[in-house]
Amino acid sequence: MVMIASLDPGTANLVVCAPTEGGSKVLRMRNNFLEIAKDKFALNMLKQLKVPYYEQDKKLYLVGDDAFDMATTFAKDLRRPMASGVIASGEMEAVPMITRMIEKLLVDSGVEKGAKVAYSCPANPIDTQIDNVFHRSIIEGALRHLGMEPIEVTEAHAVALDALSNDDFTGIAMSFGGGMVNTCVAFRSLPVLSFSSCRSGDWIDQKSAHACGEATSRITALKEGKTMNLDPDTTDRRIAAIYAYYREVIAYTLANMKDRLENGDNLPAFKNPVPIVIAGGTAMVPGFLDLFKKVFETVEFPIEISEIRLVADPLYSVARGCLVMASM
Amino acid sequence: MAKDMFDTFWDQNIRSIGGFTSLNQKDEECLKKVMRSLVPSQETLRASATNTQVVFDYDRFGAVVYEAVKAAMSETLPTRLHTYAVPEAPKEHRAAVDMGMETLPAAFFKSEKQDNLSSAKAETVESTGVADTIQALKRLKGE
Repeated sequence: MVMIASLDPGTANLVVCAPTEGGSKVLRMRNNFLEIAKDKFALNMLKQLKVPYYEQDKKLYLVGDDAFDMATTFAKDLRRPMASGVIASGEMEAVPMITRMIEKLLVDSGVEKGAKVAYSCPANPIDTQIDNVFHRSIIEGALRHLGMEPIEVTEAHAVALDALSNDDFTGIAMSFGGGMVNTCVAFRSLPVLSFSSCRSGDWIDQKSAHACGEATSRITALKEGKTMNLDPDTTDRRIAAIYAYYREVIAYTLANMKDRLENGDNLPAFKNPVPIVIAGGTAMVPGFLDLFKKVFETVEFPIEISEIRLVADPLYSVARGCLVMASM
Repeated sequence: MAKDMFDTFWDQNIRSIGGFTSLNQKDEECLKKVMRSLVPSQETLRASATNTQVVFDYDRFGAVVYEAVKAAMSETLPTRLHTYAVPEAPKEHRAAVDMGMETLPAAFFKSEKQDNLSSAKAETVESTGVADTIQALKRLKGE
């Protein structure tokens, strides 16, 4: 019986992590869905491909990775239950859709009703009017609706719990997600400063797609494909656009961090240099760490940094950190 | 028609705020109707007083009404008021009161659609190291 688990409801991916005898098991599903018109051709195609769907009002809906694969094939844009790190304001299907996907992942992970589920929540962003109040109540409500006992963990704090165990849980943890970049300054496991900004993976995809006249889902697929590399000398204009917007996101994030660290109250005086650990699906593209270090060198950072490193399995770090919290 | 608990609550705590008079009657009726429709019963309104959340369409009702409702609600209930613009929603859903995290109605989360999504694709990955991290954190906390 699994009575402890974690959930990372990200803009791009939903991740559930549950303990196993030898470690932990992670389940991931894309947090998106696709609406297509119901006709004979579409129904036959989905049945032949064995793609799960449901019908409503003469429309067919696909979810998760199945929706993503179909959208990429037919150059369609996906619908998202979340945007900019929180429940999407204009998406009327968002709540039942995300609840259903969370339920599927928890059931597939063997999580029993009554289990403690630590879920990640973004810190309030510093660059938009959005806050996390409504989002938090929806995710907590969904977990309670599914019979779970929710525990909230701030997203980048979860990264600190996952990736700073060899550093006395002290340092700067960052999560480059689909909708947001979350940052947490941790001191001996305590989050002393947390904030987020709303330029991250989706922003890169949308800007690059717009610049190249491509569907956003195709840019996302290219960015996440096996051949992708953040190469400044590329001759492919799509990769050149992705590189330019990655660089912009990193520069923007570091400028915000510098500002918050210089003006933040109650920051501890670190005796020794501290590491920056980076997680999140947007950080997984080959060449990201080199680009981050390159941009970092151009910033007069207010805290001495010992090293900058990517965490192992960056996409699952937040869920692992939440599982650590649920286990305490 | 006799005034019920919601009418009294509205008149005493919402309508009495000075800034609220800038709202025209039609908009006030709309806002009131929506808020009332989301309060399932008088008992729920009473029970929810410890954890009521208002979802408010800032774009539609504007800053003056927002501040007025916020002031009224924060004086009467330990309320968190959240501005939440829902441009594509039908008008009657543009402002909403939910009854707090634990008492949100099940229909809010449940889709009526029948589906076979349990067979939808999900990627599984085995992960190690979490147990070591938990032990390290317990040591740090002196457990």
